[in-house]
Amino acid sequence: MSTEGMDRRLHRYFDGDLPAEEREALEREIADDEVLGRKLVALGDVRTLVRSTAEQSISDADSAAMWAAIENGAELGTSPASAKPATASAPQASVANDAKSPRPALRLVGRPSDSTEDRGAPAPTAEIDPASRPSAPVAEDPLTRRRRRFGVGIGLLALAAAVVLAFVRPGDPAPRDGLATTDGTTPLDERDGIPDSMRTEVLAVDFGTNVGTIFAVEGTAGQRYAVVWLDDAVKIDEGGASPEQAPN
Amino acid sequence: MPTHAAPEERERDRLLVERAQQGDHGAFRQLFDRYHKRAYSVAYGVLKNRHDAMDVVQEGFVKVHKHLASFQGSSSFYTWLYRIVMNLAIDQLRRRKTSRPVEYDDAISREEGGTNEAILPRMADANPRKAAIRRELIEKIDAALAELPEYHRQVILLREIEGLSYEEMAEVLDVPKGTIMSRLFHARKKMQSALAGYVDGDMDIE
Repeated sequence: MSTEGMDRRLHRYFDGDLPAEEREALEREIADDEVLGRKLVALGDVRTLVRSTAEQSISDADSAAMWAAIENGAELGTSPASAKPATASAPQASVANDAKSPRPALRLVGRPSDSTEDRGAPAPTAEIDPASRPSAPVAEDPLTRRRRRFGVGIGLLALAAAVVLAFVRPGDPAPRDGLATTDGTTPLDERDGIPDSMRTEVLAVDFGTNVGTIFAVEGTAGQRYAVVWLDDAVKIDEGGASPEQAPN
Repeated sequence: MPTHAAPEERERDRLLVERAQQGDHGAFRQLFDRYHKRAYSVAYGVLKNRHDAMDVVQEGFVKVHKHLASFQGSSSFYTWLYRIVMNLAIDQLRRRKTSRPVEYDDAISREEGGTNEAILPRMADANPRKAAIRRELIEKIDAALAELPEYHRQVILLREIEGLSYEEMAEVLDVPKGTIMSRLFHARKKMQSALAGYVDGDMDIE
C-alpha cells in the first residue's frame, strides 16, 4: 500500500471509521511501526490544538443575550440581525455613526399640552436620533433655556407664517363656506386637491441649540410644502461642541 | 454537552423537537441550551469574530424555530442545526470578504486569559518560556485555520471540534462521504504542515 493510502487508512482509524477487522489489523501494524505510531500521535495533537481554541471561544458566548435575541426574533417575526440586543456591535455602530455625523439631531416634540415625561417619547416615524433623547430630565442653565426658548419662539413664528402662507395665499378667493363640514360631503382638501390622508400639521419644532426657520413653498403643480430649514452655521450655544467636533 | 453519537441523546432530541413542534417553549429552550454553545463554536471557527458568531447562532435558532414544524426528523436535530448555522456563517463570511478583511486579532488576544492550559497537555506548563511558546502556538493555530479554504476549515471544525462522523458531516455540508474524507485528509495535512514543530510524528508533509 502506498504511503498516502496508508495515511488515509490511518485517518479512518483515527476517526473510528474502520470496520473491526481492518481496525485490528492496523493496530497490529501500528504496534510494529514507529512511524505509523508517530503519525497517529500527530493526528491527536492537531485535534487537541484545534479544540483548544474552540474551548476558549465557547467561553466567550453570551448565552443569555443570544436567547433573548432569539426569543425576540422568533416570537415577533423579526430577524435577530435587526433586533441585535445580544451584541455590542449595534450600539457600537450607533456610537460610531453618531460620532461621524456632524449634523445635530432634530427632535420633534410633543403637543404643547404634553407632560414633561411625554416630551421626546419614541415616535417611530418622526424620531431621527434615539440617542439624543434624554433618559431623565436634566437641569438646564438659565442662559441655555433662554436661548432654547428664543429658538422655539422663532420656530413658532415661522410656523405661523407657514400656516398663513399655506392656507391663505394672497390673491386666492376666500374660502367658501361649508369647506369644514363634518359630514364628509365637502372635504377640506377640495381647494387644492390634497387628500386629508396626505396632509400633515406641524405642531411644534424643537430646534435645540440651532437656529431654524419654517416656511412654505409652492410646487410646480401648485402643491404647498412646509420646509424646515436648520442653519448649522449659526449656533446659539457657543459653549457646546460644534457639529464638526464629534465627541470621542 | 451532549454526545452526538449516543442513541439516547438522539432520542432525547427527537422528543424535545416533538414538544417544541407542539408549541412547548420550554422544549425549544432546552434544545437551545443543549446546542447553542456548539453552534457558536462552529460559527466562531468559521468567522473568527465573536459578535458575528453570536448573530449567526441567533439567526440560526430563529430559522430553526420558524421551520420546526416542517422538520421531519429524517436527520438528527443537531446536523440540521449545524447545517443552518454553517450556511449562515459561510454567507456571513462571504459578505464580509467583500467589505472588510477577516480579523483574527481578537482570537489571539483572548488567549491572554490563559485558560487553555488544561487542553494543551504536552506543550505547556507553568514555565514562562513555554507559556510564550503556547501563545505563539495559539496564534499559529488560528493562522493555520485561517489559511484553510472554507471547505477544509468546515470539515476540520465539524470533525475535530464537534466530533461529527463522516456521514453526519456529509449531511451537514451536503456532499458525498468520500468528498468529506478527502477534504478532511487534506485539511489535516495542511494543519500538520502549518503546525510542524508543535506536533509529534513524522508527517510526510507535502
